Amino acid sequence: MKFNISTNNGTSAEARSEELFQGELESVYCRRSLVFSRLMIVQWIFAIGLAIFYSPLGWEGKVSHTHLHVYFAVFIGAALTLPAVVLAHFRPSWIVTRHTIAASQMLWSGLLIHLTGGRIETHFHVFGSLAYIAYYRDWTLLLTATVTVSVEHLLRGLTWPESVYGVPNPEWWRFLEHAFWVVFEDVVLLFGIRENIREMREHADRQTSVELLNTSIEMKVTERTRELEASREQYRSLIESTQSIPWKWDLRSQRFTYVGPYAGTVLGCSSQEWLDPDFIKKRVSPDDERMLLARLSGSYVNSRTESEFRLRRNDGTWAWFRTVGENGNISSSEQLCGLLFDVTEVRHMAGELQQAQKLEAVGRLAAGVAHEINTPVQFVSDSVHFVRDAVKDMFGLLDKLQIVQHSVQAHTDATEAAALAAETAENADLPYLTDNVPKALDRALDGLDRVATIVRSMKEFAHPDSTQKVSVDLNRAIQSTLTIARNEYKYVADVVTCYGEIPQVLCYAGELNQAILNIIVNAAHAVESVVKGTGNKGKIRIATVVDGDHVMISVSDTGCGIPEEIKMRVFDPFFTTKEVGRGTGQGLAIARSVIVEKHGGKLTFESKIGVGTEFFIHIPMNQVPHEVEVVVR
Amino acid sequence: MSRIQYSDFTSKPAPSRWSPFIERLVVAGLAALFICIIFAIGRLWSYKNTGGTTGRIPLNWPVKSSVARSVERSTLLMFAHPKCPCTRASLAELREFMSKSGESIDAFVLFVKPDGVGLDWNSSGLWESAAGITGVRAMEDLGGVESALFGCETSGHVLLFDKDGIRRFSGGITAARGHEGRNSGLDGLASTCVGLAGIDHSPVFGCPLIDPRPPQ
Repeated sequence: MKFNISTNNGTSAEARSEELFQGELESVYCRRSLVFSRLMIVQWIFAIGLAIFYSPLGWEGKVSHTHLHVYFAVFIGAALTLPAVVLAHFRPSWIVTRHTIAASQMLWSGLLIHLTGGRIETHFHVFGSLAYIAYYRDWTLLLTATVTVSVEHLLRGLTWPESVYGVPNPEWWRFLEHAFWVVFEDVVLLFGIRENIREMREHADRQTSVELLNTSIEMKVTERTRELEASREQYRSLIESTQSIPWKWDLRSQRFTYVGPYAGTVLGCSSQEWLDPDFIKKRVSPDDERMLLARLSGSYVNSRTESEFRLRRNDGTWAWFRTVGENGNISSSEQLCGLLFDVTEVRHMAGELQQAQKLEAVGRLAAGVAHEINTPVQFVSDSVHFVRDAVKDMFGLLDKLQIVQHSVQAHTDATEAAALAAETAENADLPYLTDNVPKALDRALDGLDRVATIVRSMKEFAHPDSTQKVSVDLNRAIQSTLTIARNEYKYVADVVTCYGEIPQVLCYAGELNQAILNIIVNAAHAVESVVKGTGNKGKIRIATVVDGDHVMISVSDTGCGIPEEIKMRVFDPFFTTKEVGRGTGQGLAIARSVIVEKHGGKLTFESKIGVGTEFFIHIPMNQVPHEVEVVVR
Repeated sequence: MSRIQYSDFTSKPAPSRWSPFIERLVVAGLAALFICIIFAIGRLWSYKNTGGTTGRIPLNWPVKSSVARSVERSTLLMFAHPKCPCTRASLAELREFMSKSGESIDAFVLFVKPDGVGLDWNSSGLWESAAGITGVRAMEDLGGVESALFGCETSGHVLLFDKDGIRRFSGGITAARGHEGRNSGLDGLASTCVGLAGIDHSPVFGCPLIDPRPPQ
């Protein structure tokens, strides 16, 4: 494999490959020199041991002395070993080191041959040494080794032919005979060296290509990482500039590990204080603490959760926050993260909006309520007028009867007065009055009672807003709501109530009434859209029942039903299908807010086109902090 | 994306280097050392290649010798120092020779035992080695009487007498001190033994059999 890639600094892949090859070759030199230095020491020790074992002493008769072999083994061995060891330690890859080792090793062969008495086996040390030198993968070392052994052989053959050839006058070519085997091995080893060098070059080429690839990948990764970091920073700046507060929550230590800079601003404290392990206890409203800690405990794995809670500002006021957190896709298993929004103002606006909607509802109902009051007031008025006329007649008769009384007491003639009284009585139609005045009074009382009921219902409906929940009889609350909304449905639907045995429930009465009213009015409007112009009436059925630990209020109608495509939007603020002026789109949104967010209940519905819709309101009997859940069935 | 910089590659640290002067000094030192080694090896060769001394070798079998000479075939004598390490090679060559020509020869290895040495003088292993050679008898030469009669002063000296007691060969049968392998002495002995022309003497390589002479 060849490369032809030029780089910025002009270095080519070939040069890099050559660099790697030379590096590897140098590494081989170092390793081999190290091995040879150890081998030299072993050989030296072996040679001394050999000399001491085989020829420790030289003798002259019965006089002994240390054999010269021992001295030769020690001193010549040292001269052959120590330079090679020192050079291998300090300059293992130096060419002089390599050639010194090669020459020394071959001379070691000569020394060992002498020390072993010329044993034929020792001559194989020459061939073994050549092969070992070949591991250097440097053919010039074979040359040095061969020259060394040849010169030693040649000189010994010339000066002491018997030790080499066994005869005192060998033929001239005998040297070549011996040298042939060395050269033969050299040739074999040279092929091996060439093959090894070729493989090393290929390896260097491959490594170069891998390095190229790795460097390329590394640079791409670095670049992508930089881009990612920039992107993250951009997102972070974006989020932090929006007055939202990004956060991270550590599930182990149960504390925030990061909050955006706006966190400090919104509470009037430092962002660092948010990271305090006791932050939740110090700052979160006691009413919300349990709910919030449950949210942050990590038990809602792989889910998206929303919750609202209050945090105490430094000035002692409360700030409302909505948190949207996720665990799973964007969080690790040990931490949650999400966004926090300061919704204090939003909640304030929502309150005002709710109040406005309430006023809008009252205003819309005013005409109906007025009409409802007008009817009883009308017949109360008629009855009172009748009673007034009757009383007037009665008083006229009473005057005549008093004249008759004075005449009788004065013992004067009372006949004329009596006749006048009888005539007056005749005119007043006393039997009639006796019979109808009580009835008129009953009607008046009945009318007044009806007015009182409506007024009481109005009063109950417009229950003063309270920050505290009160115990409420929901059946009665529903009945009151039906009373004031009667004008909305009485012409289009018959209302059937089916009140169950339900306990009193802690709730925000005024707001819950409004929510129920909104649902009932919607039901009336839905029925009206079906029966309008037909002269028929639909039906609205309201039932209450205990459902587990909740009280369930169901409001069903025989209206037009809710189309599938808008089912998900009916609770959205300002979403309406009614004509302009008839609905603001706030009714169900406020109902949801009241039931779900304020009471921790559920608001669900089932609907079928052409059949009707049934809303289910679940209010917990034992009020706990709420969770947001909207279910459409 | 920036282009690949080869400087990004991790390079191995450069090996430590010496200054050119130091390098030249080292090379010179090595050259000197190798010359010394060559001289030392030359000294080794010289030592190994220097033959021992010989006395006056009789041409005929000495009548005073107590060794029983064969009258039917040749008799071979080897004089040996029982502790000479070089003689191991001589005995190895003798074993080789006897395996080829031993049937026609009576052979003796006489281990010289100087006066005043202990009883364990011959217990060096060479005695057993010699006695183990087929056709060879190991004998003690008490006080070096026999070696003096035959004029042998160096361990490994071999003498061959024919059945008439005439000396046919005198010398060593190794190429050098303790050096095994083919050599002219062994060749000469083998040729003489079978009646062929060949050298009848060769240098003897081994330890002196007699104590060093006191300086004159």
